[in-house]
Amino acid sequence: MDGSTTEGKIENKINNCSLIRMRHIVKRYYIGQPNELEILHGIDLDVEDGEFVSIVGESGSGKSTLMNMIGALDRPTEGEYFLEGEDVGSLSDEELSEIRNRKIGFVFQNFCLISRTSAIENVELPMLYAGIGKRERRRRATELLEMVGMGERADHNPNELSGGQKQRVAIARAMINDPAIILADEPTGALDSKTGRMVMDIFHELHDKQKKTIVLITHSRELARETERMITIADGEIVDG
Amino acid sequence: MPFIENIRLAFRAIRVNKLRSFLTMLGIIIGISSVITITTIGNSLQKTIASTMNELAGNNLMYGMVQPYYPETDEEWDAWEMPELTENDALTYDKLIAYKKAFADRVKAVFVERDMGTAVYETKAGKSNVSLKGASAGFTDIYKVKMIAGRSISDEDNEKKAPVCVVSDLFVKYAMGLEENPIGKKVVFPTGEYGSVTAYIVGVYHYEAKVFNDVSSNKSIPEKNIQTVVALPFTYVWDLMGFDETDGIDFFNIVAGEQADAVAVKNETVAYFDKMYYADNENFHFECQDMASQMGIINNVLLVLTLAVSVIAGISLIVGGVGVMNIMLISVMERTREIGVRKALGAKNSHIRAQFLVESIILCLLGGVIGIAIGLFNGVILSNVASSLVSMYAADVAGYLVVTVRPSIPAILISVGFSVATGIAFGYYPANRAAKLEPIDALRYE
Repeated sequence: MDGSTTEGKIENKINNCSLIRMRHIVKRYYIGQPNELEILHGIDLDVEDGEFVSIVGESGSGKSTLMNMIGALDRPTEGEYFLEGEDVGSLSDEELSEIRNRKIGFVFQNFCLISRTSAIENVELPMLYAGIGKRERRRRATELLEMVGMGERADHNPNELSGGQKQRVAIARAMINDPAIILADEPTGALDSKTGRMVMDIFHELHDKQKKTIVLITHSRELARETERMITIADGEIVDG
Repeated sequence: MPFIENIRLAFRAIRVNKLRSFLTMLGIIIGISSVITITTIGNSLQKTIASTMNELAGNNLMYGMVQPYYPETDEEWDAWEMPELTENDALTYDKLIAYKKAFADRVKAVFVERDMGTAVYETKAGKSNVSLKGASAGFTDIYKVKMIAGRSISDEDNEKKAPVCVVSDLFVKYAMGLEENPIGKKVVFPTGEYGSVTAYIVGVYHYEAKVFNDVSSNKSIPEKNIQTVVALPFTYVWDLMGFDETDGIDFFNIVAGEQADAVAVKNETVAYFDKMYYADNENFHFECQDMASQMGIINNVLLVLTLAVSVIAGISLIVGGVGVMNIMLISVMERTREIGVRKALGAKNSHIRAQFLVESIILCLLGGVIGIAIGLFNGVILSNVASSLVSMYAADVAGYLVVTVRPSIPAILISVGFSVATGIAFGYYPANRAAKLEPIDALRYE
């Protein structure tokens, strides 16, 4: 952890800030002047440490854009975003990479495992970018794969795994650097209901047992109702939650 | 991200697209292999010539001769006639001895010879063909033969025009039928043109086939029938053949001393003769050629050839490099989503750049290594073919040939360097493009 992050934590404690604190977040896309497309119209969002929240919305509601903001994949056009007290809006590309690496664990709808790379190597990848040594990577990755019940298949490549297995590997990968938030974007979207259920159970377990902060982005109200708090987004604004 | 990880990724990416990677490398393989082929041949040729020269007399061997001033223009050539060599113009034995004395500190041997033709020597023991040769001191230095008994022809023998000779061990064994030391024995050689030549043996040298151009016949002719050289004093032969001062010496050999600078000796020799004998001579001047500069000419030819091939290879490398760039751009495009995922997981721009740059470098380096292997193979094969052609079609000189096949190490190192440089030069743009992709765009890429 670098200095700024430690500072962020201290500031967080002093100010008693939320883990995620968004104020008046606006995102506009410029599709050549004068056409500009405003996707998010001033979002205020707070997520506390240890919360399991869901962001629900129809497609086109702006929930994916919001997820990109939360995940530090993109910067807001206007507004403030503090993650663990750190002002994400002011960070450089390099620093955003570090934020994603250390503070955010992504779980995608389509798994996004690197092909022709074994499950364990996929899980290790964020640790590799964090510059952690091989032995420690192996140890932690093995531990996490066992936790999601994939210990047996550590050496299999993604094309040898079923959808549910892939998603479990992806969850292990999201957990590897012990992130502040797990950011799951339609994690059950590409799975049948049974395996989807299994994935959701893992999230519940992470939340209950490890007190992980989880942000679940979904269009399914049914899934969203399982979480502690449901935030509904429509037309780029939070309408409920 | 450890460097080794990038290398592993690069090999994985290359393995996945084996055919595509190979085709991409082809330009580099062709470029590098042609350079290595030509430099291996060139280097082998150079080394062969050098060791052959060394076998002969080394770089210290020179030839001195008198040359007319040739006209410079075509018109002058039409009207030109070779001027007559007068007593003043000609090189004589005495002039050479004077030179030898003046250069005693820098010159190991001054050698002049005159062939007198052949004779058949016959005794009860046997019969032998010999070739009679008038020789100054330095016979052993020039012919690189070893005396096994007695001494070689000396300056004193020449001064006195002494009727002495040096014969080969084969001659002693087969023609004279002697096992014991023949020194002091009188031998008479019947020559047709110059009558009987009488001489007393003062030394025996060990016969070596390759020295006397008998490599080809050596294998088929029994040892006892081999024609060997009988060396007599140059001045003795000169008189026997009826020459006088006006009959000039065409050319002579100089062997510079081992410590002496051959080029300096050459220049001083020319200056010496021109000053002493040709200062006011309108028709003739003294010329000296040395092995070192002859080798310089060969080396220059090789250098030009190598440069020419290198330029072609350079073009091939550029074409190959563009191919690499093309394939890397495709690779980046194909893996846009992967790049997006890596970025989402925390890869920095520098990580992505390094990954693709290393892939491009490995691709080129692999091409370079394959090219070097092919080039070495070609070079060794062709060098050996060349040397066996020489021994087949020029058997008389093949004995002197010391064939050395030696790849050029600097060329190999430079090739490796160039492969890496090509990988960097043509891989940087695609790698940088990959690095600069926006994570959300890359993740969303279909």
